[in-house]
Amino acid sequence: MNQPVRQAFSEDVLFDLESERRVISSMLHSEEACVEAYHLLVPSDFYSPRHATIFELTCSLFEREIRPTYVELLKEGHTLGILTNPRDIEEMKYIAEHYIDDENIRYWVKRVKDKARLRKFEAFLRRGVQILTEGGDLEADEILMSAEEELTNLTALDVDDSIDSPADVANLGYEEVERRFLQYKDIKEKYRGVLPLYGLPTGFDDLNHITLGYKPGDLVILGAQTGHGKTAFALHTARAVAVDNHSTVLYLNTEMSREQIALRWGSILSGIEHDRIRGGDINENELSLILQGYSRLRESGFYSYPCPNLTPEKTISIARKFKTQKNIDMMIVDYVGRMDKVDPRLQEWQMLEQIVKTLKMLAQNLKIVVMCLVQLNPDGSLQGAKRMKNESDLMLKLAPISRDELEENEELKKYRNPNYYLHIEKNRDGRSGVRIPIAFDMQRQIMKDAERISL
Amino acid sequence: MANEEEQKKHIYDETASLITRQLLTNRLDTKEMHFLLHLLDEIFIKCQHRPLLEDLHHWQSINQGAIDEDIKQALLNMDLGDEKSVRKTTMIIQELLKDMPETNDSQKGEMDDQRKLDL
Repeated sequence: MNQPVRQAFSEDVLFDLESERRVISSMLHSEEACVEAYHLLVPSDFYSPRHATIFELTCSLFEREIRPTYVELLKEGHTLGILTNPRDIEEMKYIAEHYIDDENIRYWVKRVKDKARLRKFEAFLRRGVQILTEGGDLEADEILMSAEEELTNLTALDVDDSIDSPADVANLGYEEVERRFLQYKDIKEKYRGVLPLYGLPTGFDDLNHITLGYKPGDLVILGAQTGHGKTAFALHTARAVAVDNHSTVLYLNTEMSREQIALRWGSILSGIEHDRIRGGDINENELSLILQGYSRLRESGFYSYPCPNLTPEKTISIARKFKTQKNIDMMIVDYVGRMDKVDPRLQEWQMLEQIVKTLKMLAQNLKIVVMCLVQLNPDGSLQGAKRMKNESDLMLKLAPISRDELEENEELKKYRNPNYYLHIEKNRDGRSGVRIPIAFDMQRQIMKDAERISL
Repeated sequence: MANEEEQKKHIYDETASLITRQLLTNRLDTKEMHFLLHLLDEIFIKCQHRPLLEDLHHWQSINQGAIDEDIKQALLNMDLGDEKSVRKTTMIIQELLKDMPETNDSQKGEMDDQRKLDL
């Protein structure tokens, strides 16, 4: 019955075993290639069942945070009883020896993926022929509509994509509202009037109130001038999310060493001045306080990745790896101005625009919050700000409050020691154009909402 | 791909396959295989344990069967993930190898031939 379709072309149009071997070999020899293939392929993309099994084993090692080297694959294969005679080893070795330049992994992945799509197309044709061969009372409209839908899924959309029907959208909308309604009621009863967060805590009560938290898929941009608290803000956020809320954060820092980042936490979690900690000028009681602080960090979900040569491609690879292995809820990039240019012909703003687009895509695909820190010009402006604003869900600026404004602005007098504004420039989900007065203790690296004076 | 890089990958794959094949032909037991594979990854992938590797090279150049079993036991009892354990084992091996004569070229050739026959 399937003869008419199969006879029409040579079978090897439907598979490319060499590409399959090259993808697996690359996964076994390069961690970055492994991350790439892990995210772009599924076992059913491989034509050879043996290749699909090896791909699955490799992915399973990667998910368990074991670097999937050829050695680890052999160990795993032996443990699972897949390697029972020397011929099996020869077969594995043959696959492993299909070396490629690791940067070409996307090319080979695409070849594997394309063949998988062609096989789906062939299956589609076979089904069509079968329907016609069986004959009977055929409903032409129904058959063609169904074929069109199937073909559209093969051509225009990725396998995982689907179109929501009006009913799907309505159901999803109602479920979301109902869930929020019940959650709100529950939290209101439990916490008496404190607004529930739908995302991760921001570390500021007023910002929580306005945004309802950072939500998965959000790109948050924070701009500040040099020396005005970008890293302090990043670590303040990390504290709120990873230490206080026990969610998981990946912190990428392009400027600071491991020691510098670790030392900052000593100050943030103990409230002792950073200069004194750095110089060792502390007493034994303070040392004990710092130790307690680090115990909290040890129990937290904070992962740090100091990376001076960060590129957008590397960021994608690192984020995917940590999403798979640590199930991160948030990634903070401190800061994007320090990322290496991939194309030296690009202007600074073009480069920033590209990075920001990449980060937004990453946030949506991995369903995590991505926060990126950018440097403001001395006049408080940001090159390419308009484009960045378009991509971001929440755009914040951190800037000191001038002495004149502190003296003249009556509203500020209602707060105890405000010294910085957190300006909400854009908020896709709520109010923007709001300035939140905050108290930033630079020495202790601590930020908080400026306290309102009760009148 | 740079030839040298490919050559390195090839040696790594060949060595790992050889070790696993020895298990399937009953020339190694599971513990020995796991140790050798683990050592291979430590040296090739993580580039660690240089002093231990030098001592193992030295061991291979010595014609003294009497200490082979002692060195093997010391190696199998070592935890490659624990720096202290590796240091301690390296010292034991150095102690055992002390004063052992180097194998001359013709003996070395015979040993290599025997090894090839074994494989």
